[in-house]
Amino acid sequence: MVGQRIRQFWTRYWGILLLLLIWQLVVAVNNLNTIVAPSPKAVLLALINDAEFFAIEAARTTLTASGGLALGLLLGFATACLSWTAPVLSGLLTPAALLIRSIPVVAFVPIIVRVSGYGTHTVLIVTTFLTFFPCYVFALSGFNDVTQVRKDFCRSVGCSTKGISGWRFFRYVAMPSAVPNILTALQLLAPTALLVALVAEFLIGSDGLGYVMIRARSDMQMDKSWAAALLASALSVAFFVIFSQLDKRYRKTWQS
Amino acid sequence: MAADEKGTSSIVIEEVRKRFELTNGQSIEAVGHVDLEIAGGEFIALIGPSGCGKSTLLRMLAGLEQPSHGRISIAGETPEECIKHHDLGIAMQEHGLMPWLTAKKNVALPFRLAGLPVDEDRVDELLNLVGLQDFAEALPKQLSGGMKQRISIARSLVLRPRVLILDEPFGALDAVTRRLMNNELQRIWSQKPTTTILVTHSVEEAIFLADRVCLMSPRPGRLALIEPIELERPRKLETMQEQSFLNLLAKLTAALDEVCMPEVAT
Repeated sequence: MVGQRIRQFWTRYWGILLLLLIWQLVVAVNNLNTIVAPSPKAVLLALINDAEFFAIEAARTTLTASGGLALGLLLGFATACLSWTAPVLSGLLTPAALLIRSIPVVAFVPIIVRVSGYGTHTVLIVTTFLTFFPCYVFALSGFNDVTQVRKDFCRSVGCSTKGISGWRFFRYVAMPSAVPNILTALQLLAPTALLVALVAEFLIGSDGLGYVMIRARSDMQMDKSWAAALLASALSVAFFVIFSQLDKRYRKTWQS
Repeated sequence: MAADEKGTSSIVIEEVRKRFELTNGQSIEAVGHVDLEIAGGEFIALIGPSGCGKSTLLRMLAGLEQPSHGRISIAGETPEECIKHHDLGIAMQEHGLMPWLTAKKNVALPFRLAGLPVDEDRVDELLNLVGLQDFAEALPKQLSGGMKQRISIARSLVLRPRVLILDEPFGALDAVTRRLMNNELQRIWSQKPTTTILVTHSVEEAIFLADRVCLMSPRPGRLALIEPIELERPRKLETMQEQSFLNLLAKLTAALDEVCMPEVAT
């Protein structure tokens, strides 16, 4: 049983193990200084020795990223609902969504800082803002993704399929139709939310893994900085896996 | 609403034409000039070549398209007024069931969409009628093509419509299932004869189910022939082997060939 588990782990994750081995070899063969590149062993030790500290910082980043994602999803969903009932809003919001998505995070963060100052709340605002527009676009396209046959059926029972008068159609048909789109948005945006939270912490934060990375680097504690980076990568993968599983589990119900 | 019999409505189609405007500024006439009177409780089948305007005529009857000319009256009301009173039920080739809802919830959906309280007894009655009471909690993906169509028909009947509109509901099914479904539809219809208009490509299906078969000519569709079907009801699958049935089949097939390919038929 244990042997089978080990074999399974090896078959799936041999690439990561190989990468760690190459990293250790490069550091050992070139006799690299810890300031240039710490070895995996040093990074692992930094993680273990400061486990509580890293756990707290990782929890902070996770909370900020999930909070930003949840708020972005909520705002995106609410705005998409409004756009669906009043298409004139869609004409206003969709180009704005495209424009804001085109601005790089590093250029976007200083603008927000000017308005709301430094701190965790600004990191949350940045994450919310950058996840809001994709959620809005995905949700709105999901609402509009109802087939003509379903619309015809709804009209045949006296249910309007447009505007405020079509709220029953929206509630019972359009909104559930958007679920697969929202699941896709979550799957794609979960790692992005984490990345945005990390970058924002890195640039303007006062805590979290992004802040630990920059702080440890300026203190020349490269093992600690790399440990934070490694933990952030693991969190990003975990976010993706969790939302992929969610997508896989619920999408099946939407297949006719 | 006036009704000829309890729960059924007569339909009058007067000089109905339908013209579609194309994007290049031109227009095409889909339905030429149709005059037809359908009695309350009558079962009418519309047959004709592809693109002859059968479905367009049906969509106009269902209030989903407006005629360019002429009028349609269902027991003295327009189709739009009938929709408001939940007097029309439609089922199409694509079942259009909501995949996230169970069979029972799909059948109950018209109540919710119409803003009416869900009549659970009526939903159960219809599930029984279509023989799917044991599949009430199944999702559409767990049902076969024929079962999905039965749910779709149950859904179209749940609000007790006076007119049932069926646009090739069995078009996507295999031949055996289709024959069984024809039998099922006849059984369901004969329990409470509702004015029914069925569009189909199958002459056999049209004869088996209908009181009258209307043959439409190629676009712009006009009624080329109206054939009364005087086969005794209830009809059984064996009816399809009877000489009277085969004679009607031969006659309508020849008429269909003649309107579709007059040069070959002559």
